[in-house]
Amino acid sequence: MARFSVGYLILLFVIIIFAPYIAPEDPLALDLEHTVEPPSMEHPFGTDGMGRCILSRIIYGARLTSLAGFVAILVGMTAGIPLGLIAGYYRGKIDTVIMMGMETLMGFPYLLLVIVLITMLGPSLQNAMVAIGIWIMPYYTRLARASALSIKEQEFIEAARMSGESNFSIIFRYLFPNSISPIIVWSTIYYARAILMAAGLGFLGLGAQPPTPEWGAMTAIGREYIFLAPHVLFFPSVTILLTALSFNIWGDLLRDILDPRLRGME
Amino acid sequence: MTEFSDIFMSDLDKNNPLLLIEGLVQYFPRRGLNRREDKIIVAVDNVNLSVSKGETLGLVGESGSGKTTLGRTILRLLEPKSGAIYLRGKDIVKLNDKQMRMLRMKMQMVFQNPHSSLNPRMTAGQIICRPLKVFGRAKKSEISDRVRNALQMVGLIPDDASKYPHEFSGGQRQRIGIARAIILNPEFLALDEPTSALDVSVQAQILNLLSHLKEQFELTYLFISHDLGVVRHMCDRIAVMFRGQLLEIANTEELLENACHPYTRLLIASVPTITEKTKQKQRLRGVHPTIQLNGAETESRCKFYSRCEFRKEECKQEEPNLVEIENGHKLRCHLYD
Amino acid sequence: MSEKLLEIRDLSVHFNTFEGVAKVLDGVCLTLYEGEVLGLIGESGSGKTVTALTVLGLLPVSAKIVSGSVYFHEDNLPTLPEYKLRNIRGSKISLVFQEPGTSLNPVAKVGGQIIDVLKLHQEIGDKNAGRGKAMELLEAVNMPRPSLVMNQYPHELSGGMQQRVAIAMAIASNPELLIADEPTSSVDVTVGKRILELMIYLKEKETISSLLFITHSFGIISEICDKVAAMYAGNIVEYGDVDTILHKCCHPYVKGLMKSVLDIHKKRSELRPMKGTIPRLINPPGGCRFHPRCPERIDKCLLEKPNLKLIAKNHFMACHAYKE
Repeated sequence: MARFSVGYLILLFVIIIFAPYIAPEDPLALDLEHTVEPPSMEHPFGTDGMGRCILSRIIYGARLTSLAGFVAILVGMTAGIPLGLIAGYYRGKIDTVIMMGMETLMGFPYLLLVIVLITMLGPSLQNAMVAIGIWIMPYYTRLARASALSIKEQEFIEAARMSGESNFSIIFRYLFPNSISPIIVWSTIYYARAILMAAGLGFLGLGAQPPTPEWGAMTAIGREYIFLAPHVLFFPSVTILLTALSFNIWGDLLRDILDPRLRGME
Repeated sequence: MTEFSDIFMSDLDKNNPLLLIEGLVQYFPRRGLNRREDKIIVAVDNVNLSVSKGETLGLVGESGSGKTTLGRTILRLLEPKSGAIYLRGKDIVKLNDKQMRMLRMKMQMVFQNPHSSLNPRMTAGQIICRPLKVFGRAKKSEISDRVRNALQMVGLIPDDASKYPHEFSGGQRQRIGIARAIILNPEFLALDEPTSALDVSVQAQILNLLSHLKEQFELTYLFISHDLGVVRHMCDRIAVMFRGQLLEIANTEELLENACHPYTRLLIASVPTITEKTKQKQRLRGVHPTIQLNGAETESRCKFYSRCEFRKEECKQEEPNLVEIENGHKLRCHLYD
Repeated sequence: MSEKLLEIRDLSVHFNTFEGVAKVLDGVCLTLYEGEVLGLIGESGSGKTVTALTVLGLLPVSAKIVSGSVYFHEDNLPTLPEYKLRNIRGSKISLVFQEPGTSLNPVAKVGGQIIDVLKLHQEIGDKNAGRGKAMELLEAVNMPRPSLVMNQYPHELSGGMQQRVAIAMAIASNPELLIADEPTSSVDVTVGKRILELMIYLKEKETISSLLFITHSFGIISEICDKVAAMYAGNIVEYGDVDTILHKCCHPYVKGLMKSVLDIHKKRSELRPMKGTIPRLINPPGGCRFHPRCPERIDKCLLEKPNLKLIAKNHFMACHAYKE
């Protein structure tokens, strides 16, 4: 299982980088004479309702989906980590206020939260990335806060204060670099969630808009053809499934590899 | 700047110590499971202490004595709840944050645990030069020279500057901690069990280094430790602490030969020691303890009462004060009233 | 002449670590006679705790006994099947650890834990008999208010009391050999003294028959031991009577250590520490492991590992540079 998922992810990575060279056709190119054709030598994954090559769309879709997940994570991190570090370091009222805010966010059913945000911002891939980022943010805040709480008890923080370091400097130079390990580990897991969410939004028509070759959007289109030409639905949805699954397995693997060794090295 | 620099103007002599602590109090609230169990743990109970320029004062105690807390409070790593700390005659408790930060250049600390006192994500060079950068005490071009200098002074090589803490042994990490503490040329150094986590042979190296640096830079040390053997070697005077109070203070030789307080004597007798060959037969004999001492804590009596072999009725009623019984020898005990 | 109770011959133990194979024990030779207190002194990385764990068969999975034997009476312990080892562990050979807090089960009452140990190695009649024996043990270790302590959890006790419980559990079966691994290192010095006194008392009363006392303190060795073996980087470098080793030691490492010890009753004008540090065990120095730091080394020391040789009555040393 682990080997399969790592292999799949490597394949995905290659596809993302070399998309223009691998994809047989332009994903946006219409070919109205060859619509909804089943998989064949010419089009290994078949064509969709507009005659576009599904394989090419999936290949380019990989870029979009992975980018979406990545930007979403970035948004979540940039907002969430500083808040978490500040909450954990200062404690007291600041901590209470920040965590109350985060817990409120986490308290919303996540789909509802994201949909409401998109509705406010308007449906597009960019807005989807921001909305997902806002959803992910509290998780990073919690992570960063937990790290800050444990690290700030260590002697080198006291030593930093003895050296005259300001609070800002301590958070930035001492707390943050030592919190990176758990953040990296969890990021792969959040990344998987973000990708799934992006695809979900695309499916609902709230994310990427046609004709963008995004997997979720493709799945939505595929619904129409479920009985007529199942391959149009099959390929994008299975791709989403395999990708999310692989990331999850990878996340577990990473946790197993890193944690005992980290503990061992201490 | 004026308020800061006049700290360094005053003359120091026997009557004008470098560091004078008066009535220092530190306590921590301790939450119980319900409101009724909330307690206050008094870690530093109205402590008066002075440290003369150029001396090494030993602060000795067991766990719970408050010696570590006292050290941190003196340096204002923990804010004292009350009391005064006079550095060269100026009360540093009254300084604001900015002034206090400037003062860090003159008062520094060496920490106990070599494994957690260095930032794992900084190189040795970065760790040592942070104080320089924070205080803007060196131009960019000078920094690497200063760092190289500091490394050499503590017995490391210039190449070590680019290594991370985990690449060093415990003893070497302590050296880095010492380099960090002295790079700004402080006057006063508090050392909190600097060698307790080290092996005997490494400890010897580090203690030698500390003595050497003290001479070279005319430092004044507050040496906190639980190890009387080390304290004997390093310190000019020794203060014995127990549950937040100083019980006895005297010159090293005087304390070890003429200890007065029952606790001090108990401490000295408890240290395992290499007995002379002729006395080998008389060494520690198994003892079935007959004295089961216990007693509840109350405010108004000697804190050592419950463990004291020589307690009197007076000890139960009234807390003894710290008085000078002989030249420089202070004692807190009713036995010698 | 007493019998040999424990004999370790040429024991080598390797550990698989992330960075390579650490040769932690390198031909350890050690003999403990019945009725004696043998001190094992060394700094960190010397291998003293690993030696104790090997005797009890408690090495972690990453460790392997590469060669040598550990004879307890006539049995070579590492060759015994697990069920036989279990009969020896805790009943004929017991161990007291350094950290009393972690060797006791935090979620079980003290009384129950002692009774469990008793049940494992002895026939206990009924519940009351078990409690009775447990109380006896607590009294034997001079526990104040034993009936109260029986019903307490370990965290409610002080470090010294926890250590007494650990000792009570270790002596529950009247072991032939008690191994104490730095039992006083993590408690205050005044508490440590009471623990030492207790152990001497138990030895005098013959509740403890033989004792292997692991420590880094010469003072403790002087107070409690009959013989002492000094360890460095996986080897025994010197062994003999306590008097001899403390006052007439010969091995350069032991001499260096004695010069670094700060005894409270001896004023030392100058400390002359040894140069260098303990070697890494993944690629240890060839020949004698101490040679890089040794002020007395000769050419032979770089090539050939010295073995323990008898240099005087009851005095063994492993060093090429020794001259009569």
